[in-house]
Amino acid sequence: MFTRIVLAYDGSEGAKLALDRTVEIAAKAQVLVLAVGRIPEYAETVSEVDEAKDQALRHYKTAVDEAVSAFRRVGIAAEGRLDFGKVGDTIVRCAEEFGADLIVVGTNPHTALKRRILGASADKVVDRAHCSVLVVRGGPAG
Amino acid sequence: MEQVWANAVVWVGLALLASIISWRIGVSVALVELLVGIAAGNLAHPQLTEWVDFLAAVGALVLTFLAGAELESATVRRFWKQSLLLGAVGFMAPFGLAWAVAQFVFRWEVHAAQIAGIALSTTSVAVVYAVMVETGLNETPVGKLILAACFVNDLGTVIALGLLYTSFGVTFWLFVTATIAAMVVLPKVTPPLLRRLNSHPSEPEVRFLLLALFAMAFLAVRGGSEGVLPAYLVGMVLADTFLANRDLVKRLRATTFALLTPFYFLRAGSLVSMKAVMGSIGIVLVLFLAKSVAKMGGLFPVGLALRFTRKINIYNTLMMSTGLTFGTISALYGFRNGIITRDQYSVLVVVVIMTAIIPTLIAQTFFEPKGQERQLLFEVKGGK
Repeated sequence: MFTRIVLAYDGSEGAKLALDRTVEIAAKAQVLVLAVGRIPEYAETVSEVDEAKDQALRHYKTAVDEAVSAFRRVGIAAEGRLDFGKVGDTIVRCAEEFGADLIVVGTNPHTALKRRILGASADKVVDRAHCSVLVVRGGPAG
Repeated sequence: MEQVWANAVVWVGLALLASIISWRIGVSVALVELLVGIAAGNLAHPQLTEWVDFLAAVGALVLTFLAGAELESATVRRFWKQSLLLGAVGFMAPFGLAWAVAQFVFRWEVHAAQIAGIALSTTSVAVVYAVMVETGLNETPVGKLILAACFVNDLGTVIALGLLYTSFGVTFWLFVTATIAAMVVLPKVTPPLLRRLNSHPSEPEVRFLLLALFAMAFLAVRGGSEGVLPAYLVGMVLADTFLANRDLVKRLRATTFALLTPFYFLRAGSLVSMKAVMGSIGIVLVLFLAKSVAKMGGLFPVGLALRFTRKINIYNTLMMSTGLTFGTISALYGFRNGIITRDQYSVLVVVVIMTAIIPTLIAQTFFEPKGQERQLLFEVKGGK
C-alpha cells in the first residue's frame, strides 16, 4: 500500500472528489495536502509577486485547512502546505521533496481548446512524476 | 471632449483586455500589455495624444520609484562587495558589447548605439524574484545576493540613462544638488510624515510621494537628464521606509497598475513597428545574442571567483540576463528624444521582450537549483 501520499488540492469539485478517493486508500499513509499558488511570470515589480502570494495564501488557506481536518477526522495523519509556481511542476517538485509514493490529482472539465492551449496540470504531473499518479476524474470534458 | 473619451475607451479597453489575458495565462500584465500594445499599434493604430503620453510618463516614473523602493538594503550591505561586482559587470559587459555591435556591425549612429547598449544592459529584479519565489531561492543567502546584484545592475542602467546625454551645465548641477538633498532629507522626513498622515482617506502620503517624484523629474529634465534617475535613487533611499509600510506600497501600486503603467506599456508596445522588426530579424537575433554572450562572458568568471557551483553560476548568469521594464524605458527614452529611429526602437523592444522570456525559460528548465543544491549554495557563500 502507499505510505506517503501527496494530494494536490485547490478546493474545486475535482479536488474534492480526489480528496474522497484519497481517504479511501490512505488509511495507513501520511498525507500532504498541497495547494499551489500561481506567481505572475515575467513580473513588473516585486510587490506584484508578493501580492500574488498573499492572495494565494488567503484563497487557499481555508480550503487546505478543511481538507487536512477531513483526513484527521478519520484518523489519517495529514499536513497542509501552500507552495508557489507552475501547478504541474510544483506538484512534482513537492512530491519529490516529500518522498511521496503516490500523487493524487483531481481534474476539472476543460474545453478541448483550453486543454490544447494551456495544457492540463494533471497531464504534466502524469508525464513528469517520479512516482505513481492517481488522476480522479471530475465532470465531463468539453 | 468627445474625442478624448473615445480615445480613453480604446486605451482602457486595451488595458482591461491585457489584464484579463494576464489573469488567464498567469503571465505578468506588463508583458501582456506590451504585446497587446504591439498588436493594437500595428492593427488598429490607437491615437497617441498628449494625455496618453503624460499618463505613460508618470507610469514609468512611479514604476521606477517602486523598483528602487524594492531594494533590500540589509542584503546589499551584507553582500556589498559581491553584489557590486556582479552588478557592475552585469551592467558594463552587455552595455559595451551591445553598443559596439550596434555601432560597428550595424552602423548605428553613436548615440543610438549607446541607447542599444543601455537598453540591453539591464536585468529585471522583479522577473528574477518571481522565478526565485517558485523555488524558495529568494529566501536563501545566494538568492538574496543575486537579487541585490540585479538591483546594482539596474542602478548602472539608470545612471547611464540619466547621465549619458546630459550637457553638465548649471541646471544639471542644480539637479544633482537637489537629488543629493532629496536623498538625504526624504528618508528623515518621510517616516514621521507617514506616521502623522497615515491612512487618511484623502491619501496624503501618496500625494506627497507624487509631489516629490514630479519635482525631481522636472529638475532632471530641466537639467538635461532623465526623470527615472532621481525616481530610482529616491526609491532606494526610501526602501526601508517602504518595507515597514507595505500597505502604502500596495495602495501606490494599485493606483499605478490600474491607471498609469497600462498606458506606459501599451504605448511602448504600440510604437513598435512589426514591419520594421520583420525586416530586421537578423539584427534582433544578433543583439539578443550580444546581450546574452556579454552577460555570460562577464558574469560567469565573476561567479567562478565567488565560488558558485557550476549550475548556480549558469543559473545566476541566465537570471541576470533577463530584462523588461528598464529595457523598454531606455528604448522609449531614446525614441522620444530623437536619439533612435522608430525602426531601431522596434528592434530594441522586441529584443528586450525576448530577454524577459528566453533566459528565464532556459534557467527554469535546465538549471533550477533543487534540494541539496540550494544548501550547497548556502555553504559556498558562507552566509549566516
